[in-house]
Amino acid sequence: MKLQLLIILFLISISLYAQSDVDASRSYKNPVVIVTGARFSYKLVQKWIDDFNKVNPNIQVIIESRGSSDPSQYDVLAEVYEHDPSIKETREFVYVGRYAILPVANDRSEFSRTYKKKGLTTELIKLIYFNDVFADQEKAAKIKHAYTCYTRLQKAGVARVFAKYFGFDQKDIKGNAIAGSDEHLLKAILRDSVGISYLPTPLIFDPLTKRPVRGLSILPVDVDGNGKVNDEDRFYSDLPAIIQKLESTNPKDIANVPIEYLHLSVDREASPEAIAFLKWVIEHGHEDLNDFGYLKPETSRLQRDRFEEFARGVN
Amino acid sequence: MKKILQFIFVLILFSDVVLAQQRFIKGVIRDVDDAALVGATVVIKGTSIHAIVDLNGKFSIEAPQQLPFTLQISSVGHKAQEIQIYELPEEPLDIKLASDNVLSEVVVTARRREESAQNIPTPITVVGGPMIDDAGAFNVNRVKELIPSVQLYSSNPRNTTLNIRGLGSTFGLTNDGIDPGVGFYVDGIYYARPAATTLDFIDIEQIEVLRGPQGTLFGKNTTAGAFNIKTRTASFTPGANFEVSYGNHGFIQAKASVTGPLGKKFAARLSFSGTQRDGVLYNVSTQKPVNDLNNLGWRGQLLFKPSQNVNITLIGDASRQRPDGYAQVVAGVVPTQRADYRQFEQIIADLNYDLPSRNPFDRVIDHNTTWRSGNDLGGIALHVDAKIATGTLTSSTAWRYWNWDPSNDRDFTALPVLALSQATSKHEQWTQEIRYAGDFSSRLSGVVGVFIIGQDLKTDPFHIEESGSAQWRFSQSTTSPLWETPGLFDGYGIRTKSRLQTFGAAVFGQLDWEITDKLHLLPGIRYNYDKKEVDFDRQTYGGLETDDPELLALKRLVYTDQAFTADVDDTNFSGQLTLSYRPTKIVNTFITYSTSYKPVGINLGGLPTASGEVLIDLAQIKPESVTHFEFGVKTSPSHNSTVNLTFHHTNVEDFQTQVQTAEVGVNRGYLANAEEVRVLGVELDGSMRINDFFSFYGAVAYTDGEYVSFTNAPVPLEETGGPSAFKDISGSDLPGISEWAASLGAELSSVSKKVIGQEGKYFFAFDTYYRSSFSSSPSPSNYLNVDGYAVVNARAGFRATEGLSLFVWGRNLFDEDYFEQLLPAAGNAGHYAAVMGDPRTYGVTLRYTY
Repeated sequence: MKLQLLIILFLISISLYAQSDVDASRSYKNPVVIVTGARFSYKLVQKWIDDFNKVNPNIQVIIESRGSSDPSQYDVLAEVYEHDPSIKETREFVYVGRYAILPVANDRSEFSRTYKKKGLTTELIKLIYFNDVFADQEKAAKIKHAYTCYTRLQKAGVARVFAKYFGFDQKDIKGNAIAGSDEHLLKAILRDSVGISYLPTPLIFDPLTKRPVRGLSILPVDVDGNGKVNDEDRFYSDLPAIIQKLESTNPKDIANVPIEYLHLSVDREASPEAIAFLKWVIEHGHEDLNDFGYLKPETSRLQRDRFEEFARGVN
Repeated sequence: MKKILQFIFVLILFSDVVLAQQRFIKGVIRDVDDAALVGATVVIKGTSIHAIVDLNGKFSIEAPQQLPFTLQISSVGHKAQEIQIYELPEEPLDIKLASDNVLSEVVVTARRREESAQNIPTPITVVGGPMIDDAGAFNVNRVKELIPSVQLYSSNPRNTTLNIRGLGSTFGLTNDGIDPGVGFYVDGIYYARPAATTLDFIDIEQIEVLRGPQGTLFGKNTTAGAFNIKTRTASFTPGANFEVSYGNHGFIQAKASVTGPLGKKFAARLSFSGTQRDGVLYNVSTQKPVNDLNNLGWRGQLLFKPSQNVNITLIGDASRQRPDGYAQVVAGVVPTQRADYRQFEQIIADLNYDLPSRNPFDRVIDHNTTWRSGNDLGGIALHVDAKIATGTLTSSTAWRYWNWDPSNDRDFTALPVLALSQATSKHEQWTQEIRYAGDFSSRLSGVVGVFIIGQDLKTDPFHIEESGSAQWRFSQSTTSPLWETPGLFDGYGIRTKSRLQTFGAAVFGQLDWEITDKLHLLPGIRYNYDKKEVDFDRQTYGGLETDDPELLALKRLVYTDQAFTADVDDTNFSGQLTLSYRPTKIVNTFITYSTSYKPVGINLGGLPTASGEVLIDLAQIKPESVTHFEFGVKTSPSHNSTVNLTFHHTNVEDFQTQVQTAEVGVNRGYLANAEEVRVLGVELDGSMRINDFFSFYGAVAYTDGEYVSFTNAPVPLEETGGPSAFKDISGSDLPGISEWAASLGAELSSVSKKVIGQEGKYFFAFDTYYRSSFSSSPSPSNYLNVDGYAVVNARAGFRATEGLSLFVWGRNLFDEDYFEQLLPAAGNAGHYAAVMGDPRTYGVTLRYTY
């Protein structure tokens, strides 16, 4: 009888163990730095990790999908929106590069064909993408072609930046919400012949061809803010052209294109390995920015000195 | 024991497998104020997997194996939301549903393109299908209680007047020979006969009522306004509604509507409506109730969608009414200026007769001629809508019919005065409209169209008016004993054979030029061609066969042979100019000047006589010319409210009116022109949705209508027999216009509940309608005036989002006794009858929505 009970307890234990969190099975040989954050930044971050490991083979840096909103669970956060001041006070940031957010649409739709030609002014962007009680419905009614806007359900950096730029909150973005990442926004558009959304430049372009992902159209916007979409506002042929245009233009002269930073941050109590990784990124990270769809940071926001000062203090 | 062990072992292994396979999505659903939306439903789209949100606003639902999938989230009073799940979230979803207490934007097609009602520079009232269904407003007569600028008078379907701001059609009895001034459109098709306005609605999506001339927007000219009724269209998404109501007076109403796809490119909808009610008057002569309801109607639609840009819709409909209906109750007796022996009281005393009641609200009549109103309307229409460039090209082709089979007791007594009054008719119409509506450039939009209509209205086979043995006493105009000649008028009547063929064509257009973002100029123009051909032949028959010229002269005083033909055509230019200015996004102001035109009228109800001679020159009356000014402000003071104000002023020259005469042979009156009339007024309406649970609307209209000049009007009933048959009534009030009319309604509802598995809300709603007194006589009378009245309707029950709803309702809750119209009896003996307002009715409605 005792033996039978022991067998049962054993089986239950094995069963529970099998269901337990994978954390329990995690073990690393070397010091580990865990990075999490905006999903679309992972490709670039992974490239950095690979390069970093070539010179720092004893530090293991891994990317982990964010499973908790508690930042203390992670060593480095790679975020794509500006944090509240209260959070900024507790962390050290490195502003690595910038990305732009552009309106995109499935290229099969009549909507896409029409607005690829006409382009989008500020007013049109607000009418198309946002719930605005006081929107000019007469003008909204003139948008004849069918479209379905996709947006993020959960709090998301890109959605937040896009909405804030036009004077709204993320919740004001209209359309079908998706639970997933920004990559899934891209998938949703490609699955829906009348789908539209907003995407960050690193997701819009095929890394090989440097042209927009097959099936996706970028909708030109009124970049010079003159109320019209001129020929000068159409510079979306390929990724280098966009980067060249946006990097060479004074940010103050760019309208209707939200541009925000990708930043890495660590807690003030960060491990030396995490700090080492960030220092490496400060030194070398900018080399890959353009290839991955990012703009180089403005000189004024590099804050390299400040981080190095922090790093020295920690060491 | 071993077996138990094996069982536990298997159980554990199995639970492992299950736990490994089952994946759940958890979340919380709240409103924008962070309140938990208890009872909200979460469904995995395309499956029957669903979950209900608990008291804390939380839900947990098993996720399908295959990603992505879609969650459908709905909660009564909130906008439904769909969420596509591309990866299972590690943290609970935090979902907020927007409240629908934001006033739903009312989209109208009044300008032949979809626009917000608040944005168009036209006074317009919109009543949605759900409101129509809930309020039991199943015909125009009931809808008018929701729109105080609308008047409807119906002493039977043919004799129905649909007016807006007091203008449109002749007051009282209708003459088939003129055009209605209020266009009645159903799914874009013009319904030429006023009888259509008495039909039960079938599966209505929305009714738009445009006030003021609309000739530059609509195919048929509309001098006073338009009813633009849209029915629910065929849908590729399957759906169904069933509704049945039971009430007192034997009220039963059933409605059904089913829609769905018939393939990838075809969809259909079939709709039905049937209404029955026992009579609400009692006829002591037949010992039966009369004025019942007995209506059936159906509509079928077939939608063919060959591409995203083309819709082809074939619509067929038929309605059939068979009421013992439209009897009127003697409401009073007027002393006329005739000799004492010709007064009504003296006449019936001599005939040893008395009325069954002197109180019309006893709802008792004593009529010996059958009341019957066989009213059949139907037709078929083909619509083609093609999106071309930035607009829509529409072709609407239609054929419609009207078969009218009435029988009336026009003396309103059981005396054999008028034994028969049966104006049976057949009508056919063909219409074709082609129009393009859309944007012509970034700042220019509008509508242009051509419209043709052909009509053929004929007697079927005759219109019959026939006297009985008591006619002599009512018609007796001298003390000559010859009037008493036995059988002189017994069976003496008139048989009229007439045919009216009309052809109308119009080119119309209205542009909207956006001068600046805030300033719009809207010019419109219309060119009309109208042709009317009439062949009218009335022959007397029956009565005493005699060659005695004195007896023949007496017979001629009652009925005469009349015959005439007419063939007239005319053209006309009219137009409008509107300036619209929107100083802010929430204010829309506009000022409009327009002209309009109603073509020549032909008297088809018989002509009056003078000295025994038929006044043939009255066969045709002049066209009517309308000049109209309007100033309006539409506002949306907040996201959940609207307030609109309109001032209007209309002058009509050669106003086409139907006037009553003492002659029995013209007992439905005849058409005449008043030189000029004027209507002015102010309209204020608004609505507000305070929160998810309380909303209200209100509208008030002040209208003042007068004959500016009508120098040769027939005298009113009480002046019959006076020195002249005509008088100058310039400066007096137009009939059928209440100075004040108002509607007010509200709805109170609960939070979302689940009752017997149905998600929905408890609700209580009421609608009130008030109108002040009005003249019910084309020439102002001291007697034929309808007192003001107020009617309160209410309903309460449970309204499911989808599934079974149940509510009780009451109409005219306080059982207000009121008249809808007063009409003198034929011959002007002095008595007059009333179209009675319905007494209190109450019942219960069950509705199932899928």
